[in-house]
Amino acid sequence: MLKYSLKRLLALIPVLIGVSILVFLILHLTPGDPARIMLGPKATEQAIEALHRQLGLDLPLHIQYFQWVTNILKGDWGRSIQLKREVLPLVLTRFKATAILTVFAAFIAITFGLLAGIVSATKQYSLWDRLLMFLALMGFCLPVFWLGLVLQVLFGLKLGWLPISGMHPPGQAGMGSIFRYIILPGFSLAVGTMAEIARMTRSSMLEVIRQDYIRTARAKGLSERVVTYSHALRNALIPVVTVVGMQIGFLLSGAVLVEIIFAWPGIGTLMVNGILARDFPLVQGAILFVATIYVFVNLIVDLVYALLDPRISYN
Amino acid sequence: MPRETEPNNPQLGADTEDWEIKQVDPKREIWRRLKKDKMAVAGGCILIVVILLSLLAPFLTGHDPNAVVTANRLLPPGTPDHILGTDHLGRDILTRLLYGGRVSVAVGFAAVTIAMFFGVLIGLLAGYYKGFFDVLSMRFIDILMAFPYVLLAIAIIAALGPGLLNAMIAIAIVGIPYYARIVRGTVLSLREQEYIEAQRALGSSDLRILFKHILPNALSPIIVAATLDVGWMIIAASGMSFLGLGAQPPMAEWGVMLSDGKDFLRVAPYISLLPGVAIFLVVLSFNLLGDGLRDALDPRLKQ
Amino acid sequence: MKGMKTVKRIAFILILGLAVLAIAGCNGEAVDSENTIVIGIEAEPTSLDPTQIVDYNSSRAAMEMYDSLIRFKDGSTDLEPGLATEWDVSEDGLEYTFKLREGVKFHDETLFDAEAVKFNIDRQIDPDHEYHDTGEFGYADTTFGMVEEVIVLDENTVKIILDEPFAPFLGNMAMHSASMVSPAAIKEFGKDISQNPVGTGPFKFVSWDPGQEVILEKNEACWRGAPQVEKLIFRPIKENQTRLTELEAGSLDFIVGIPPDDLQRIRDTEELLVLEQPGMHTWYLALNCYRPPFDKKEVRQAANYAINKEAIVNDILKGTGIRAVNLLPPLLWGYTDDVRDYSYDPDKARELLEESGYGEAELTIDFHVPESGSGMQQPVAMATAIQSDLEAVGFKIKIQQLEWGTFLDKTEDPPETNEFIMHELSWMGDNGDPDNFLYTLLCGTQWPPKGFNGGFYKNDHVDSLLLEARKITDPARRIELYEEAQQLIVEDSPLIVVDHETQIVAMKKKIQGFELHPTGVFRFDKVTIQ
Repeated sequence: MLKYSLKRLLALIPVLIGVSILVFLILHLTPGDPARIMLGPKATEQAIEALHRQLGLDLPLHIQYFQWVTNILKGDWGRSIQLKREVLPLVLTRFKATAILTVFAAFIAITFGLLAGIVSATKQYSLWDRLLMFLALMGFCLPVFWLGLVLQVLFGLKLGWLPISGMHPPGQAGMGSIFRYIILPGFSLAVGTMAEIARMTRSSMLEVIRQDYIRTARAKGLSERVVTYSHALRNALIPVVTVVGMQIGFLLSGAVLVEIIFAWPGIGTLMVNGILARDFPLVQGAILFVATIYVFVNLIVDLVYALLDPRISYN
Repeated sequence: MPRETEPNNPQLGADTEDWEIKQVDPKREIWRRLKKDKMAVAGGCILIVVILLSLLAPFLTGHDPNAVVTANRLLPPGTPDHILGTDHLGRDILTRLLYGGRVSVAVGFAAVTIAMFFGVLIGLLAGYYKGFFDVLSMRFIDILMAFPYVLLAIAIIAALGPGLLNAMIAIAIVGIPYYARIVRGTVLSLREQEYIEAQRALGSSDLRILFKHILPNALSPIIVAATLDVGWMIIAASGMSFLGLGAQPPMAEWGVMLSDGKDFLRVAPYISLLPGVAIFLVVLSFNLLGDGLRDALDPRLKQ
Repeated sequence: MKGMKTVKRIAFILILGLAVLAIAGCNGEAVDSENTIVIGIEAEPTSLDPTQIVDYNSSRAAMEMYDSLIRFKDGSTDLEPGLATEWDVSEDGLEYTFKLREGVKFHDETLFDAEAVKFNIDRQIDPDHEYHDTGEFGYADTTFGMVEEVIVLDENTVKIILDEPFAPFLGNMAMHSASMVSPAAIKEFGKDISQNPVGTGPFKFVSWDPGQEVILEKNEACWRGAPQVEKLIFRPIKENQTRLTELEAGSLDFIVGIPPDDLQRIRDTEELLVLEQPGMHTWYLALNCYRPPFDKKEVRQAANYAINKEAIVNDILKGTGIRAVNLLPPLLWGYTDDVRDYSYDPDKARELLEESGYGEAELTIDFHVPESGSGMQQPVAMATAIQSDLEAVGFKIKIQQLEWGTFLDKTEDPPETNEFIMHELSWMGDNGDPDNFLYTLLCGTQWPPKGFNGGFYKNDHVDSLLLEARKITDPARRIELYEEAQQLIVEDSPLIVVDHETQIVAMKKKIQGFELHPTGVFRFDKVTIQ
């Protein structure tokens, strides 16, 4: 297992290099002189030249890339043009908010998705099954940004139950104060994933239930519950884990939209504003950061998958 | 036993020439199964209605989707002559929904077509020729897949600049890896098969083998994936517009309309809610149709 | 039975987790809201260093931390002593000597003195100054462009020498960009001064949590006397509707940017107070006189006649602004409405277009619009209305939307590379002088990138009037000059003025004694909380 993990870890290196090249190219694929775009029209020719030298824009592309990567590795991620701040600390703070939102949404989605899937599968073709699967289908198709607005109108505007913007009550910062603030954005974000997990759990369990060893277990006289939970669920979970892993990408993506709607101080808001403001150092930093995190999260999901499924050999 | 040799495997259905021993025409069989699936039929019907409505928009409504009549602003749904009301600039919402459907559905189809074209091409070549091209293209696919979906689209838009066309290109690129992987997998499993070997021995060109004998076997997963994908692409494109990175106002596009209505959620929530319902319906129908197609193409998967 | 137990255990842990979170959530609610004002603003401030601020959104969050040598009186643009107790202007209008208030300390306990004044001005205008590269000073030229030299006479006396007489200079010394920042802090933080602001004002900086909030607390040692309010918290919330809802729900105490369609309901709400006051604001379209089609006066006039400004003010803005006939806001001295009347007249517009001889090729233009921005009211809605009015008389208009920062940058491109043929913009007066509108936005010497004449308007006669008016000090003569200039300008129609926005804020009734200021910044130093 350790050997397998190391192998997978090593395989990440070319991917990360590729990612960094893509992110690096964002700046260079843009038409126009990046320095002029970054400094704005008020910049003097000297300032533009200075930035050219500073960013090495007059050097060959591969040397520029090398310098850029060296700086990134040294922790120098450049400075945001618009917000006049160091990119790395900014990205770290804002990503923390996104991570909290995403993890919370994943938690809700997995909990309720699994529950709904199990209920549906064990009571196949019952009213519950039909209702839950209908809801799952709906949830699967709802655009997350629309759902966010609807929840805002309903719980914020009409009922006034929950706050609809920000992450903390004004002037507070502790984790304890997040809960009321995270419910609406977290739920908006979770619905799609929850639906997908419920559908996957159901079909995966139904498939497992038909397998021979389950029939054997039943034949041995084990109670239906034991069969369901002990034998079926464990094996049915394997494909579900894959789905959960894939859904992390959807969650991080959806977070961008949800953050804008609920003024959640995450990295999505930062990124979109950065693009609209042509703030390249900021956009590059934010995208590179999220992609790197995502690559590692995927690795972890794969390793968990390998642990769960005895059929995968590590060598 | 490899599934390719099972006589009634519908995956081989399109390749009728080689399988004339079959009693039933598989296409007809698939169609029969699809027709029996009520949900899929419902999805297909909604879809046809939506496409017809948006294509016929100029004949169905006398309004111009972009005509601003400030005196008519924020009329509620049910107003004579404005069945779904008007927005904050007095534009007829029904008209904008119909015209918006053209844009959204067209963008969805176009993005999927682009993604499918390049994905299939890369998958075929990588799987068939293996070697250097395979390694290179699969690394590239890995890199694309290292970004969360929307994030990759956002990164591409960051380079190209906001706009509907750029947003479409971006989400199309995001879709490529999926198709490339499906096709490559199928090709890898088929290329060593006896009948492919036989074709090669008979002197068939690579091109003929690829498109005549291998591609048809990958068709059903591609069709299912593409159908489901159109819905996803529509959501993604309107999401980009919602963020201000895709279609730009005043274009009648569902994401733009949704975004336009944000300032009026209290006095006129329908401005935002209606385009959302439209997106939902279309995506739902693509999903129903896609699920139905999958079951029809491969009945063993059906529960 | 093992499996069953596991499921139950997991369910139990999950439920317990949720419950703990819920309880923790409730405990977190104890806000010390007693003496705090939570203010919803439109966007994240870009900087808290006043010399680098170019937008109202940022200055609203920052300006309570600073003072300048001269300040505007509460509620007007009349001047009163600030960090300078008295001043003296030489006969020729070139030398200004300021006597500084003694014993004033910055929030970092360093002393405010004449060296600090020199440091702050030189930092902005002298490219060789050691700390010039600690920021980008968008207002430096407007505020101090005429300054030749700053001389420290003694610890508490400073003399500023101008290179030409400049009548509104004292007003400039009250502008946000003339605020005094602690030199020690600039030396310590360098470029990061914009997140670590240190001034002398009634509130001092506590924290800035990016995307979340900026927190200020009262400065007990303020030379003007400590304010009543303990804390100010500024929350950036982009969506107008969300901000409004948060006010009604009680999590915000004070907001800007109320959607016009909701205004009446808020006015009718018992616990809320709406303040409305016309400000020094003008919303206009800048037409690029440097290039076709707006290089022809007929086309500019045609566009002006074609746009139904009345309808925009009544139907889109719902009366949150007043119809403008002139670039100057009516509350400013020197204003005249005795100018050419461009009331809605599409037929006349078509005639003028006919006369101009331009065809469809020239009349097909991009219209650049910011997606939001301070003072822009409803930029997209208004642009769409304008687009449809213009298309009705024969223009072909394509709206191009840009983010506010990018948009502002592009307005400042030099004429040769400036891609804006027509763009919308608003201007809010800085120093309470007509010069700040007419000279800054329309004088032929103020073309970008030097100044803000984004339409590249140049009329030699107008230029001579504006240049003379800024040199002389006799108010009556200046009024005459400005009135004549306005008539010429409106005839030429380089800008299409649409409205003057009413400043509107809504707040909880517990906030007492808040007054709007014509310059648009917020003053909380005399506010009390009931």
